[in-house]
Amino acid sequence: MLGTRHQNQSRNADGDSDVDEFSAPLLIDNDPDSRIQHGSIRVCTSRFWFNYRHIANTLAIYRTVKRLGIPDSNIILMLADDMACNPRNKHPGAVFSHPNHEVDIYGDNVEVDYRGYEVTVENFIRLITGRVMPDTPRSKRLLTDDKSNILFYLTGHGGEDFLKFQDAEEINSYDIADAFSQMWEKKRYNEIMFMIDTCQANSMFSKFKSPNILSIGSSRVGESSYSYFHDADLGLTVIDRFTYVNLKYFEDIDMQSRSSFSDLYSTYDTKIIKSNPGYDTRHFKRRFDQTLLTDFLGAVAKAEITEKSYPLQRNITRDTSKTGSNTAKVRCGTASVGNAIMYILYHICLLALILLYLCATCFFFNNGV
Amino acid sequence: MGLLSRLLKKKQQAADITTPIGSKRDRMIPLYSVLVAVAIGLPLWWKQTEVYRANLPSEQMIAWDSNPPPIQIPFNFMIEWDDGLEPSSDLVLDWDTKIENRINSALMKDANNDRLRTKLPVSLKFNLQRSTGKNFDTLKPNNYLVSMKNHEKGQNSDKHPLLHVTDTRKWIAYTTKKKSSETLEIFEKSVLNYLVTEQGKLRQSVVTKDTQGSSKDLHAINYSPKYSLVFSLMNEDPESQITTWDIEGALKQYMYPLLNKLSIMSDFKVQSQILRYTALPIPPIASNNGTYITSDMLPNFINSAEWNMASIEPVAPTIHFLLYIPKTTSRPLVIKDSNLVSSKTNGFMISQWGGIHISNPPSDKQVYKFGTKELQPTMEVFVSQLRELLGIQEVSITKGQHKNVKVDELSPSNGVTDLELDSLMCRWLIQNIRLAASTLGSLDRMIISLTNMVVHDSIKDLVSDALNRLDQTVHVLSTGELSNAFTNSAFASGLAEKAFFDPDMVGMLYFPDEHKYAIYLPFFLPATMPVLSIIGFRLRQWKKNRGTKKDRSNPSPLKKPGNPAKPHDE
Repeated sequence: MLGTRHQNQSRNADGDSDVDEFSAPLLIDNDPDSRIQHGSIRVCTSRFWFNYRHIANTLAIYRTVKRLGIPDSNIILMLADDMACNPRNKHPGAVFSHPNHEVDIYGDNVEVDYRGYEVTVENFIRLITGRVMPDTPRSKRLLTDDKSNILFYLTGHGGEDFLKFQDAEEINSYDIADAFSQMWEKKRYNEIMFMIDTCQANSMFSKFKSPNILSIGSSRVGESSYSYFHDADLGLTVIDRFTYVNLKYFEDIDMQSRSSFSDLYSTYDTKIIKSNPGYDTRHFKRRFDQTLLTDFLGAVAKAEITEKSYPLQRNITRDTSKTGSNTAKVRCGTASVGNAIMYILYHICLLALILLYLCATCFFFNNGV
Repeated sequence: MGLLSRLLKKKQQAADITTPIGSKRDRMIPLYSVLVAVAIGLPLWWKQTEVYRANLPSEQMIAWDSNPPPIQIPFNFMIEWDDGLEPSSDLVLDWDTKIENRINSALMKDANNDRLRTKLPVSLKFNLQRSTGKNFDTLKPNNYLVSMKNHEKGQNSDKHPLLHVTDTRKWIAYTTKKKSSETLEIFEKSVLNYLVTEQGKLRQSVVTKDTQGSSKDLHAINYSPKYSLVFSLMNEDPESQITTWDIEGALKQYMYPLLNKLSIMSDFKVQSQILRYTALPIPPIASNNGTYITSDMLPNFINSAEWNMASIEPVAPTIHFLLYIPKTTSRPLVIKDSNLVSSKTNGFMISQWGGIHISNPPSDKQVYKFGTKELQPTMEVFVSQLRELLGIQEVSITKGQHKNVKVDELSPSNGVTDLELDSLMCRWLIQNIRLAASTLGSLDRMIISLTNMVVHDSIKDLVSDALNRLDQTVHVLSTGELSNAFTNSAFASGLAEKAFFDPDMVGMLYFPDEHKYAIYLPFFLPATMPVLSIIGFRLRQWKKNRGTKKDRSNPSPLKKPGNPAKPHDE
């Protein structure tokens, strides 16, 4: 089923909104079906100061999933540019998604895993298919299995069937679909939620062929996605409309939330978004209105009280610990014996030297005198 | 100057030479050059742009995935007798073969009744031997020695035969001469019962993934050749009390015996850390003495945003163990279940992540040190949690046999009995074979579906190595060497994974047609324009010639007058 909200799409862009063209943050959250653990990855592929809002989109989603309990170790955040330290940033070290500048979404606790020129199509594909170089650190790997739910959040400048990375290259919908089918083939996910905020976003998930993927996009083919909130202080817009609407809804959910995707979808107001968001559940087994947002956005660990402890012996008498200490003792023993011998020998030698000296001096003096 | 003029002269001469006879040849030269370019250039271009794809042993890969050979796991039992206890040969002739046959046929029957759709046909094979009198100091996995001892000498509380299943691979049966055949019966029943449950468990573990595994399986972390264990002491409020611990001593005493036992299958890397100011994200509920948290609050216990639990291990699964010390004002902090009954262990486990134990040391001291002795309850909780996280399951050997069978279900010195260890090894062996087989199948399907993907020879080598290891596993199993087979299966799955995740097999695999045009047009357009125009021109000329030939029946169309291509000809 491919659902889109009908709205007149033509030329309703007004002055404050500009068209998305280049950045793609991705967020992956793996949350096993049994609500075991979680992981999340974000990638931002937009460069340049004027794409500030894409970084802000991604960071805002990053804050949301982190608040909902996904630790940094399970989040892969890819930001193609460093807005916080951009010389044109009037608020150094901070990124805001709202002109009131109340919440710094960059903050002092952010872990960007792929940054700047590391954010490439190749690295993205490597990351999700698991074909990373052997020396890649854990924070840059997607270590998911068949119990993991993954949230992809991408935003940037795109077009029909492609999303621009770094203003230099692009990933197309076939490549993402291929990568997902490879992931499925190797059981690297249980379910995927694919969320994309870009122009003609719905084209990006139209080529998917692997099961268990739920997709939501900001705009139909032929439509642009628009930005929101012009910040006169920074001189640019700070967030995209579709992401803003989502974040607004996410604000009210917590780890125990029972909100489903259809609840979220029903809040999409095309008057605000100015494009027609769509979703795709063709490859998704569960019902749209019964799939909880926290299945992807949050991580609720499955905890179980340990019934009984394992009684262990107080004095271990067996095994290597014993032999280990024994050998150590033996070695210790021989060492001390050796030391004693050396000690005695040394003193004998010293005594002999003194005697020799005494004899020699006596002899010399005797002779001399 | 002279050279230049000479050169010019020569060129003129050459022109003079070519012009008269060039009329026919000149016209053919462009055609020839086009032909040559196409004949040499096209194959060269084709070869150059071809994606290199090594020839993988596709049939074998698919065969292992879809139709693998039956896996038979051997269980070898040996029975040794004290003097004069063996049933006399005229009473029970060939009792060993008889027991062996009975158990094997029961296992076979059970396997046939078992309607599980497994992707891997697994069955157990029981072997029984009379002891050859060898000295068995160390027995290999799945090799058990049953010593029949005289009852009077052993435990003498009652005269019933007693089979003592110890925590090692050496079992003891106490019997008397009269009851020796009855003892064998008890042995047969217990072993059969054990093997049937094991067979069921093994088959369950490779059942097709349509049915979700039991909740027990969800806790367990999949097999990995390496695990990383991180022990953390979490002190909520170091200002009121500073806590330290003798973790090295405690690990050496309580944890290492277990890890040493498991080290035949995996490596364990152990680290420890102390974290301070680890505030809980959930406020504990106050009660008349101390505070408590309920089981609903446990999933949110881990403050993942603030506690530094990140692992530096690139791939190895990390298992965390936290000893949590609450602040003095909330002590004692206890865990209560949904019925508000305090937990006995005060510990809980998070699936696939690790275990937590809350400890409430006396708060009168400024500095509290957990010595090895004080850490024992914690370590006992951790050992129990680690067992569950690795999927070590208690074995069930008694069913209606309690009177005559005594089973050591615990191993206080090791944390794992040999029976449990062997059972885990069998399960991991089967999972490794299945993982290797399915990975090879996936690799083959993936390579076939992505025609633009480069497949290097190194992939082929890895794949054939993995296939060899798989064959080796089956071969070694038939000779009864379980641990050797396990090593081979671990290698097989490792190699298959390595082949699948090879970093070379990445790239843009889909190219839109526009991109292809955009790449080739700048190269070929300038070159092809004159060639195409001359070919078109010749074709037009040829047609015209044919027309004139028909009109004038000119025998030599190439020498026809009015050829505009070579005006100097005229």
